[in-house]
Amino acid sequence: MKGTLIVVLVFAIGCLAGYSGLINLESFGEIGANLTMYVLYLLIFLVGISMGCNPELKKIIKSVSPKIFLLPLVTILGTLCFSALVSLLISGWGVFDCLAVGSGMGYYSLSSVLISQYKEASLGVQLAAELGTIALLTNIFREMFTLICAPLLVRWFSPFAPIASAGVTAVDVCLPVIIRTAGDRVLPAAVVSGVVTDFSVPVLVSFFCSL
Amino acid sequence: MFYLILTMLAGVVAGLLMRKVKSLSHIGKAISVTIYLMLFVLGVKIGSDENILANLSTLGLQALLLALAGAMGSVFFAAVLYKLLFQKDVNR
Repeated sequence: MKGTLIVVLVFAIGCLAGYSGLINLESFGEIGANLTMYVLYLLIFLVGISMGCNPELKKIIKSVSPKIFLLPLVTILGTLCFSALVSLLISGWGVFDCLAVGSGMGYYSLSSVLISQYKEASLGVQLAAELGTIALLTNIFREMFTLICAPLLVRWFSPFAPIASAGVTAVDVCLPVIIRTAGDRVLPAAVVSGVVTDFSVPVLVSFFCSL
Repeated sequence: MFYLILTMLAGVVAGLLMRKVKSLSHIGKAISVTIYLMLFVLGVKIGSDENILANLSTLGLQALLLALAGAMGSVFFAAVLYKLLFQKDVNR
């Protein structure tokens, strides 16, 4: 619980600092604009080191079996089922619009661009941009939700829960949090799940946009 | 993403080579601190993104619903998968 609180607090302070203009990343030029990426690379490198010096590494690699590919599959299915269900509560958008947004799987930059482009023909520029923004927000929220709730998800559901919740980001932004909360042994599952869902995003988003 | 996985593999190799280095047992703490740093920077980025802030009040609720549905749907499905196929591997 303490970890979750710190995460929320740090993120909120960051938001405030950005909003108030106290910290302006763009004033640092190129480095500032790409800062999140640099920090991400540092993080992933550290995760790599911690795996490398884990004495259980051999055991972890041995434990990988083909059935791990079922995890991205159920992740995608679960997302789609519940996105379709919740579309009943959302006015103004059809079930396929909601499915297209859900298929973003946490990949907010790609899904929002794809949706605003593909939907332009059927919805018009204004509505397509709106749905694109919903996709952007939805998938940012999904990433935030995973980062913040990962410890609770592991405790209440399963070690796979933060991987499923992370979607595409299981292999990048959320990976360190997943390893810290669910343990080193889920690393292969996280990488496989992140990579497979990543490939599913352009396919599924364009599919649901065409319906 | 390709470079990201490459970076991780480089880290694994570095970790393997430095197995004997004692201070590496604190790497978990270093990861935690870096996670906080990343969250902070993500916060700054979102807090200063006018496009996101301007639409938060109108589209935010719908997006929140969809995000929770997507995340929890996959969490439920993954929990079933874990129970059915993976739990016994761990207890073995």
